[in-house]
Amino acid sequence: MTPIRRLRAAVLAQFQRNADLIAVWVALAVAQQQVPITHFFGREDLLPWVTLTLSIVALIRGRSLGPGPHPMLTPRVDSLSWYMQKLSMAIAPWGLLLVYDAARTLSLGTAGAAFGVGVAVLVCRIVGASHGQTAWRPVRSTPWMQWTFGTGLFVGASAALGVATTVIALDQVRWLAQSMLLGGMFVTLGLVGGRVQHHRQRRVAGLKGGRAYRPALFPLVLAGIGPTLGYAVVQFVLGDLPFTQAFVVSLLVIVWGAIVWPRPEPHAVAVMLYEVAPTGGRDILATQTANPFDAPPEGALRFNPIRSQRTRTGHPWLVPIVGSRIEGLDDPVAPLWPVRPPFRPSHTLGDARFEPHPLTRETQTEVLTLHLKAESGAADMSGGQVQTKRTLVLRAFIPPGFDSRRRKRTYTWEQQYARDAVQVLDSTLEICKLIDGDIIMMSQEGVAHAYEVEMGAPIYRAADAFRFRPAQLEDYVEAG
Amino acid sequence: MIRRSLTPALAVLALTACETEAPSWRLASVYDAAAISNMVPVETEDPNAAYVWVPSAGMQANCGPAKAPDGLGIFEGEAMANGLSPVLAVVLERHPDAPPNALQINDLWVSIGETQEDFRLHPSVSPRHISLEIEDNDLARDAEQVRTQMQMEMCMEHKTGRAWVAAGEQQLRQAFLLDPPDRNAGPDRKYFGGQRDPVPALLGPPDACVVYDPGYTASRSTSDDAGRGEGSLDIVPADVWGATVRNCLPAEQPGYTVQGVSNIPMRLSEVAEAPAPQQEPTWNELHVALWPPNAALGRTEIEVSIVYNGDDLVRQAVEDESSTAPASHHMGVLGNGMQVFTEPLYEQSGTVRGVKDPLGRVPYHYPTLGTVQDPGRYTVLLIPNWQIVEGLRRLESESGEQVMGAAGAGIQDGVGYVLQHPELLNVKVRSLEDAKAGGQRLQVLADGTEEMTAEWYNIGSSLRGGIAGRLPWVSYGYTTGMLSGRKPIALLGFTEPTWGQVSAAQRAGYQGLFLGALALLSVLMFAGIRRVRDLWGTVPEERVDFWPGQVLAGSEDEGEAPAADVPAGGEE
Repeated sequence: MTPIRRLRAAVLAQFQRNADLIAVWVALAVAQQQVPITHFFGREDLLPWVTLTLSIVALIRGRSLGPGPHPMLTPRVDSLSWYMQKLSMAIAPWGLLLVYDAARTLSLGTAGAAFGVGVAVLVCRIVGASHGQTAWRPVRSTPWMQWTFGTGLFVGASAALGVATTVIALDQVRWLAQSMLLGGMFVTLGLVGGRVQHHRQRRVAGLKGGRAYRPALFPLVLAGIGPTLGYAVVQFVLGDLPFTQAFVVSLLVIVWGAIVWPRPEPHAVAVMLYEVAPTGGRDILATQTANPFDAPPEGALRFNPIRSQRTRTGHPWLVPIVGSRIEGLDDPVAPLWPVRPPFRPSHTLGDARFEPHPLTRETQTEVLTLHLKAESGAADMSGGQVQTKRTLVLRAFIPPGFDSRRRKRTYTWEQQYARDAVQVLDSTLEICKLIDGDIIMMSQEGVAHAYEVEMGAPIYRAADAFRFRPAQLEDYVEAG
Repeated sequence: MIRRSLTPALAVLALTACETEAPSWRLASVYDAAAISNMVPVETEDPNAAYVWVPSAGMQANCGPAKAPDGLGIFEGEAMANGLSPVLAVVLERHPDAPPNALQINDLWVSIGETQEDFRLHPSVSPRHISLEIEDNDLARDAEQVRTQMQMEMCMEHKTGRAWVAAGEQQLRQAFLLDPPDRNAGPDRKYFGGQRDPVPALLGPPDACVVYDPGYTASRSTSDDAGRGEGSLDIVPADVWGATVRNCLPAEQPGYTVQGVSNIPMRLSEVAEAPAPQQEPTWNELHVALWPPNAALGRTEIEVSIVYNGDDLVRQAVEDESSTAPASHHMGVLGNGMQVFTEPLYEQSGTVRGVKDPLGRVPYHYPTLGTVQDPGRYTVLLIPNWQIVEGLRRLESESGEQVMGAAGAGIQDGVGYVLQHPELLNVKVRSLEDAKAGGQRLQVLADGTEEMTAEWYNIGSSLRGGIAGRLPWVSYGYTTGMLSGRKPIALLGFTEPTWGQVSAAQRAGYQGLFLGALALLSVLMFAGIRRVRDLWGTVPEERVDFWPGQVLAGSEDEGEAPAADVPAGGEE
């Protein structure tokens, strides 16, 4: 059953991770019905529809195929420029398509349109130049030669493919040309989103250990060859697909978009601990006498995790993500100045981190694993005084993947709830799991504090994570 | 990364469909042509806004005035062309490997109802323009009989705008007004004058002429205006018995364009290829020859051969083993050297000895549209509303007689009803193999003998819902457009259907909404099913004595925990 569970977990994880692209695919399948037969998007060779899909993928996931600027530099953040960059990436594949069509049909109008698209890409790129900009320019000259060569290379290749399609009137040649055009669109899109400056920074910095920098070509090769092969296989196996089956090629582009531009894996997650107060559950005292042991005690407050309300007090808690990456190899470029080691995530409760999924071994940001400290106990005896304290985690609803079997009761009047609904942090518990919505309740001598866990936004830059001050004990001990 | 791409790759392959044994025609679209046409407002100043049925002048002069079927007041084709009645339009697309022959009446079976009990519908057909030549071979009296019968039938087509198809004795006698309509229910619009079952309507005025025979003397002058039904709006015996057909003019030769009449225009919606222009009607040759008895050839009675546009219809019936195939046949050679099959001219039915109906053997074709590369790619079947209403009422009643002549009760919009209940529609065509073999194909049985078989496919089943062929009432909606929504539609008229009309006919909006709703529902169901147990799960509670930050109720002793001011249990 484990392989089946692993497969199921992997499929579910992929669906969750790529839910945005899946939604795009469904939306395109719905919109496909409304495209007129002789419309440009409804062309029988499906290239415009493929390009449209790729443009939408670019708007959602598109980014540079390169590793980006030197990791020690802080890039500028500018929303408008970021949108313009995305727009330039989304428009770029249309230029290649129009060049292909112009070469195939020898149409000056189409060639003019291609030129216009190229100008639009250039304008968007210039306007969006500030986002991601870093301060270090190791080489002063403007990389106009690289841009010119790259543009000429891809435009020329697209034109050659269009000419080949016309000159050699074979279905196989046409299929191959269209497949290569798609691969070229993927690469173009990724290169448009990049900067030559980033490559220059890394080349000048070199690698750790004094080695010379070598650019990573695998992302480029994957982006170019993967969609090409995929589309070629589909066409050679299925032949010319009618527009009614355009969702097939859309799915192909979506899949390769997810492969070429996977969701970036964050370094940490900003978790918030909100102090919560109960909004109900106080027992009404009927008598002033003590009750026998078979009756529930009176005069207490039953804290219900549903009947709670957040106060205005919150405690940020930065929890790192443990992934399959090796920190030292993650970015092998040599640092520009000495750096301090990354922070050690420590918490009053223990060592907290997001560990990989037990079945798929992939990073996840839904379950926080807390490795408890050994001194978590129910009683603390020191200096002749005994203090009772209790820390537990309440979970209102048990999500799939957790133990929902009912716990055995000690007293008849006790509630029978799921095993993972309550985790008592005592000396017998080594690992505690926290999910979004859990309530951490700490009570000492009957005085309780409760904190609601909220999984916040992921943090993708290690530099942002390094600057954060880890939570300290006094943040939780002092009231208010 | 390979594992990440494997699952979606399998999904891509799973989405493709495989071709298996195929019918010769596929269902492209099913819609109400009148409703779709009326989506676009008609310009009243446009001379082509309305189609007017203009009968052939020659037929008017010889057959008498065209009157339209009794009780309708308008020709069915004209009513359909102007959107005066709902019309069920079914567009079929020919399989790429199927022979490019137009569909004939006996190549198609359209009906409504269950498979075992269905009511056959007759889609409208293209009019024939027949140039009749009768070769009597010294059998003048018998030739006169044949000619008179065929003239009457061709004139009835002109007068009613309906196709003359072969029928039984009772129906023929009612058509010729020799017997009253069934149940004496008064004028019955279902046939020419009283038959109970529908016949195809013509999509244009027919024309006919007879090749001049110098040895023939007409028993009735063609210029005699009296007795051709001019005095009545309804079809009277004078319409039938006073009718004649003119002699063919030099320009009315087989293959020549018919002058003075025009078929109802029909346009296909925009497709990727250039559309083929609608063909002009042309004259068709019908050669009927009588053969005297010839003992040497085994011919013991007068026999007849029927050749239509070079096709020997008797030979076709014999080779196809159709229901019209004669029990015995012989050979003959026409004057042009063509070898033909002959069959007995007369047949005995009880005590009545009647002449066979050669005109009823001549095939009708359904209208076709297409592209320049493939002009006959699409066949358009147009079924007027009244046929469907009649069928639904008969299916609903225990006996067909109960609904004959009953108007205003029950379903009025039969076309809309069938579109809402597509499981009722049956459209049966031959298999691709049978079509390639010319209708019938030879099948080798287990004992080594050969048998002519015909395999029919009900392509209307694609409209049905159900689960694995069962529970047909489980409807998923109109499914033809789901994966073939970009197939064209055809509308009567001069203007090309717009994309809005195509989209409405193919229900593109509904298909899109269905896909989106299905995806959303799947996500919600999948996500919801996993959390259903939360509905009955027990929420854990923890007991504490004091809650910091609350207002103290009163004075407290030192060391005593202050009381919490928290609402009682059950309050929010």
